[in-house]
Amino acid sequence: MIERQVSVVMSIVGERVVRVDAAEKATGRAKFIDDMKFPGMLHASVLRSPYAHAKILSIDKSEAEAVPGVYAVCTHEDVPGKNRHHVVTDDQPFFAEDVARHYGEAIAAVAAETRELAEYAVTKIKVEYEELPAALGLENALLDEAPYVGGEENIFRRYKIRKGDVDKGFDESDIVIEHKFVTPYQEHAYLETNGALAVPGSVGDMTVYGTMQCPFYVLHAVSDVLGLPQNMVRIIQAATGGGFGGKEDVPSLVAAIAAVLACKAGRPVKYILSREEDLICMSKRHPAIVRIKMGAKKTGELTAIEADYKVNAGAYVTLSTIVLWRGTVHVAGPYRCPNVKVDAAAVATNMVPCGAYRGFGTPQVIFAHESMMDELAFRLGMDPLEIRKINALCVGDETSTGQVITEEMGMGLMETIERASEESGWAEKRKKYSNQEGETRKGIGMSTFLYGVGLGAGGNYMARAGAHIQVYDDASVLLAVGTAEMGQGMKTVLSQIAAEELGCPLENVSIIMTDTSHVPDSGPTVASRSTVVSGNALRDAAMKIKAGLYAAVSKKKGVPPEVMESRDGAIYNRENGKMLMTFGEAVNAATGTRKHLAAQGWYISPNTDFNEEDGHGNIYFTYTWVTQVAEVEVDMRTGQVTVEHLTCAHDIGRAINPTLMEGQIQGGSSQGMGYGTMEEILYDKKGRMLTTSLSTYMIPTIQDMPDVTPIIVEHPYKEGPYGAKGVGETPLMGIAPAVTNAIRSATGVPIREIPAKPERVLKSLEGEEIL
Amino acid sequence: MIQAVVKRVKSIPEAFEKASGHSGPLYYLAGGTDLVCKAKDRLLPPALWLDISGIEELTGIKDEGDSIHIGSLVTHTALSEHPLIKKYAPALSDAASQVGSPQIRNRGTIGGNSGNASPAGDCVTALYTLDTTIHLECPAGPRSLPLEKFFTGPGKTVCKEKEIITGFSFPKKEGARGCFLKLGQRKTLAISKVSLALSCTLEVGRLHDVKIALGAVAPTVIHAPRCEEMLAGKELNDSLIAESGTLIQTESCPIDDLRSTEGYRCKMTGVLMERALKKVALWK
Amino acid sequence: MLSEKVKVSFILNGSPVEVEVPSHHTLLEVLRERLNLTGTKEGCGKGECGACTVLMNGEPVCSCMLMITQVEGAEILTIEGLGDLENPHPIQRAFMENGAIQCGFCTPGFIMTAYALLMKNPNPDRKQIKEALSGNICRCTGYMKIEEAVMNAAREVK
Repeated sequence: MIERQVSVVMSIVGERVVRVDAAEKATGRAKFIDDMKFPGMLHASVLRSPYAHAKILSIDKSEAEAVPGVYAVCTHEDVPGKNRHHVVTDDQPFFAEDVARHYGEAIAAVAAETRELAEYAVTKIKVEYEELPAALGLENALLDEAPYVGGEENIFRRYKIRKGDVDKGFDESDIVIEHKFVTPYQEHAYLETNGALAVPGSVGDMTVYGTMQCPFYVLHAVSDVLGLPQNMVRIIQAATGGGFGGKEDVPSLVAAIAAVLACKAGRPVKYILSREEDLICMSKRHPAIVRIKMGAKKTGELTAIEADYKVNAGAYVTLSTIVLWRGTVHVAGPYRCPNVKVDAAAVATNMVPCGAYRGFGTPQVIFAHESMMDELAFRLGMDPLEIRKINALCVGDETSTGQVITEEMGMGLMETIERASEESGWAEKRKKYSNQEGETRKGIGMSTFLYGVGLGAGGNYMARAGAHIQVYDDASVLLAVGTAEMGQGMKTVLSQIAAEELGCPLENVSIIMTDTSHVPDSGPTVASRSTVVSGNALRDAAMKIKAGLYAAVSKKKGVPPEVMESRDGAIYNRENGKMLMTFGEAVNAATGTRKHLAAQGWYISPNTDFNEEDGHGNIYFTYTWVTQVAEVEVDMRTGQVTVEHLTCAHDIGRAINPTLMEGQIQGGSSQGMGYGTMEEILYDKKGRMLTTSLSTYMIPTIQDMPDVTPIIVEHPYKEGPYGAKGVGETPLMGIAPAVTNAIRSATGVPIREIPAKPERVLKSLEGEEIL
Repeated sequence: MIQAVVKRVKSIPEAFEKASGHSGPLYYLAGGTDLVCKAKDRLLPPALWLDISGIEELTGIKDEGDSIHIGSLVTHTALSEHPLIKKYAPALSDAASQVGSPQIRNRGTIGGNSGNASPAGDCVTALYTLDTTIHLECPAGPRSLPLEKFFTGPGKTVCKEKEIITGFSFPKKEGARGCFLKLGQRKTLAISKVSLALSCTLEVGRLHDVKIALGAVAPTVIHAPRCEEMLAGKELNDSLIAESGTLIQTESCPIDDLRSTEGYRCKMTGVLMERALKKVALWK
Repeated sequence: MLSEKVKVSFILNGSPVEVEVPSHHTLLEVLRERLNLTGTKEGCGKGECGACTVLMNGEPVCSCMLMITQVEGAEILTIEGLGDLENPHPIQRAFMENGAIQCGFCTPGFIMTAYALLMKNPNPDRKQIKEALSGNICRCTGYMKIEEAVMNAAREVK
């Protein structure tokens, strides 16, 4: 049982300490996957399907195998174990078998002495295809004549919510509005592409290094594909150059290919994806269509929300069912509404399998519900700020799944609304922008939303984490956790938590890259969960170590352990405030008396549940509450939108490290701005991706990014370490509707499809009804 | 994977000597910002690349009395900063400063930008407004021709086998005004989806020597002859500006592609025309 | 496959080096594969992200687009030529202390570009910083803390 320590004075938690990995990264010493080398190492290249949908009639690899310097050429026939990537179901092969179901699907792979030799040899593999008709696009895949891709009539999964009676709710309303919203693919565009390095061991075992978020997913995949027991597979994370969800499930595909090649060649194999390859075949945010109908009273109170939410899942299920679930339970937003009906479906298409991306199915529905709130405000002649305040959930209210919001969860929604609007100068600016003329016009818009922290009921079985702490006799401390550092600052935050809990100086603590041989399966590093779950697991371990230290101190000083506390690098008598021993002295005393100063910690998240019949349940243990305000300038003649400022208030419970927190908010905002204004993946008519470089898939540069004012709101979550919840994803999630609402404030024109690129905005300005 | 043998040469004769013994495809490597990209995109056959980046005589910007000469290896950075270019070809220095990124501008050259023959080439668009002559040299000897005659389509030029672009020259005009405007998919580090260069002089409120070029709206950079003619000798005022913005929309033949649409591009030529004229009207 | 070796001499981080490598290799490949200087990163391979930025004769360039033959006689400075773990350069320290680093993959490129800027202009304003860093893409930070780091570094370097 973890005690609540929110009120304790802390010396390390809450401080702006420098990232623990800052120096190695600033000096170029950090080892990313492509920076690693092993003796005898080969390089991989992969042959990928040139068709969106095709029968594979034959594969002839003899010519490739004959190229001098080539050590292995593999297809599905060379997989020693199971050729199936298990995520939710087992439908995705590591290597396509009889049919290729999307452009860029892996068909065969080569390991050769150099990367360019491998790339050359790949061109020598001869594949005979028979092109099949392809289901391209969400709506196309649902047509009667659409070719079959998967699931039930091309639907992988459905979810629903039934709360109250929406018909009654619409009857009771004074106004009903209904609109369709369309959101695009989004590419993570982490600066480091995916990659893995598989190193065969001497007893048939395999170690895989890689850039990844979820080492235990990779462990399962490599064990499956090689047919090895899990204790013969070891996954070690390399420094990871960004993830954002894009290194959740797909690193398993990359690692499996490297491992199969390494197994066959008997030598280490490195497989680094080119940017083009990474864009074509790694996961993306799901494109979506959301239809929403909302009913409200004249006074603004919502009476009913009815929504249909469909996502383009791509050719395989991968994470789509969980993504869909998360979107479904967030459709109604952070609002009180007695009648809610949601139907959601994940649609199979012959396109790249979509997966996790910061927000996980939620930014799509936030774009819809926040555009609708502004529409309602506009139709009712209300201030968008007011209509949100009127409907905002409060402690004691129920969400759309019937979960009652409690004080213990940490509930700062209203504070985020108030502080974001005050800080941004909402009232004055709305007034100032209400009557503009001329070629450029300014506008201000907002979005408000909630976000379930952790895996929630969809991933209840994985909602646990382990941690290992070892204290050496020189009082240095080594941490190992099962979640992963991908740039977000987890190693730093967890080092702070461990140092705080152990009462040792932060300088004593170091933390290894995540290694599946050191810590039990801790689930994925997703869903903004690491701080809470690994933080709590570390606290559990630290408590066991403190027991050893306190016993040793007690023996020497004659003070009972119950009155001791650890802080500021020492152990104190809580009753008189006197220092008993420094941390170092205590470690010395403990090792001298043969105390066990290593411990495993374990944390199990509170149970969550979801009833599939009606969509009811206590689905998350807590929520992050957010309000974002965007200010824009619109060029009325070109349709160009310049985002001039973002103000983002997040109730994250407790900021363990405010600098890292601000970094999450500012960085997430830039991805949100890209999503809302410029990022777009385009395919040709045959289902081949066209935007295969960073000069065609455009993400914001420093010149595009406005200043972002982060506002940290702290309503502590009782079970969180020091009250913390999670912040990894939310900063991205409401920027798009805040921006489009600001465009509406500037121009009077609603934008119902993103990105709000100039061509689209101009058409709207010219009165063309796009949706 | 770049499929090439690269040889560094120090002079034009050395380049021709190395080229003469070679059959098969040959490319000259200047800054490399386009060529290397194309090779990595597998758009080039295996070839001999002659690295001309160290040929001294192809560098430098010179005042030749009546005209300005620009060596083909002059980088975008140099063009954007050079006082002679700022004075006599403001549209060109403007354009050069908007190419790609600082890193690309530090390596990319005006010769390479022309040899690449992209209809969206920013510097080429500006050069079109300067009565530019392009200078070429092949083993048989040098030749010069108006820049407009050099391009025949996207990626296509009249360059003969083994011919090197040696430089560009344009006549000096006192009181030159001009600018280059582009719309990209983001504020910087973007290829033009539509661009416009304008060069002119202004005497007692009237426009003279008006040259207008449009980028990314046709298979090559193009002039806007109707607008040029309409504006010549006219007093620069609001109604003229509006008129030009309408007229220029009849002068291009853009397409839909990854970066934009036909309709948008066409409309934007009008907006850019008006804004360019407003900019030269407020010249300091 | 077409390949021919070439000898190239240049100054790398202050010391002369000579390499004999396939002539179709880029400077980035030579740095990373031959010289084991892996601090310079490949983000896109086509000059679109700036992660591979090194200084050539004091100017930031994308080493992924620079053929090795073009480096003959040049002075090249990479991230390894600035500070090290014990003694980071003031710009590196500013990046560390201002929270300008997240995943760290773009960081060496940004630091090299910032270094070139501050050598030329020790007193840049925000606009000049944005201008100078506009060829370096960061997906993690939203750039604000990078800009602040360069501002603070400018104060330090002076």
